[in-house]
Amino acid sequence: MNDSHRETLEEFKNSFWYGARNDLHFKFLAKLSDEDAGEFFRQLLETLGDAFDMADYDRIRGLVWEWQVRAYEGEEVKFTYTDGPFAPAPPLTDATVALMSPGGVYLEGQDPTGGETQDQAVARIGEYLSEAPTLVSIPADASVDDLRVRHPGYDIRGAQRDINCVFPVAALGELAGESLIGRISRRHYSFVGVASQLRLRNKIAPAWGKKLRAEGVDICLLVAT
Amino acid sequence: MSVGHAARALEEAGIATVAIYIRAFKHLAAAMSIPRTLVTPHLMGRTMGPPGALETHREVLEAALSLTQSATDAGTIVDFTPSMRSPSQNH
Repeated sequence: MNDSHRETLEEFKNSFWYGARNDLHFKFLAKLSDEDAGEFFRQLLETLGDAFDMADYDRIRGLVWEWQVRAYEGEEVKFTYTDGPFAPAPPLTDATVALMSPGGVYLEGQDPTGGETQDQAVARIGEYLSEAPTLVSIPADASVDDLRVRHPGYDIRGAQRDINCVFPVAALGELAGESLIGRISRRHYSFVGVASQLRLRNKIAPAWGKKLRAEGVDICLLVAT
Repeated sequence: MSVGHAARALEEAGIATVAIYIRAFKHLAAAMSIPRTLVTPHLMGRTMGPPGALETHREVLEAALSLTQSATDAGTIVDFTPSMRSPSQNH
């Protein structure tokens, strides 16, 4: 971009999508039309102005949520199916329950990348999209203080502040403690969902199914990010 | 889409699953005929609820577990509301 170039609204919007202003929370701006983006900013500024007087931050969150939904819900889905498998669940009080997160959770000291930073992951998103995902096993008794997160596709700041936003080990522990489920699986699981979907579907995920079944998992809760 | 593929594969292996999605991606769950889906009204990267909101995380988790008991067909999609019946309410 030279000095005489005036940034267009389209360029401005797109800069939040892995561009100069990359922001995984607001990358949805790139999916809005110019008209809708203008309306989003108008509403955002109006809501901010109100929040200064009323300290009503829920309205800001609600507005961003509303536009996030609007930006993504019309997207084309590349993989569609008219039916699917359905495994009956045992009674909860008899069940072994595991968590699985595509949100890039891992245990300190067991980083599957060997130390990639969040910024490096974001810069490598194109490679992630063509690679097979790696399943990470996380001992169910691991301390949440030892859990880390890195992912090129979503804003991880919430998960860094509280991993339970995407990996609800605390709540699951409460339910097990109150005997509302049979038991927690010895291991939970995570991977980076930004990956080759064909390789995941055709080879990787079926192997995960066999692995979890062999490890005694009856019910698996998958928390999408 | 990765959750959809993983959920379908786990079900094929005999594991009952619930995929928990935010509203922005509800259309993915519908298109992929995911076995059981719970849709939460939360922001991306905060699927279970905001940081520190343990009570909300628990309500979502209980609703997801309840879905394993109530859903009878693949492609079941339920929108989470805080008042949903939950395992602890069943006791």
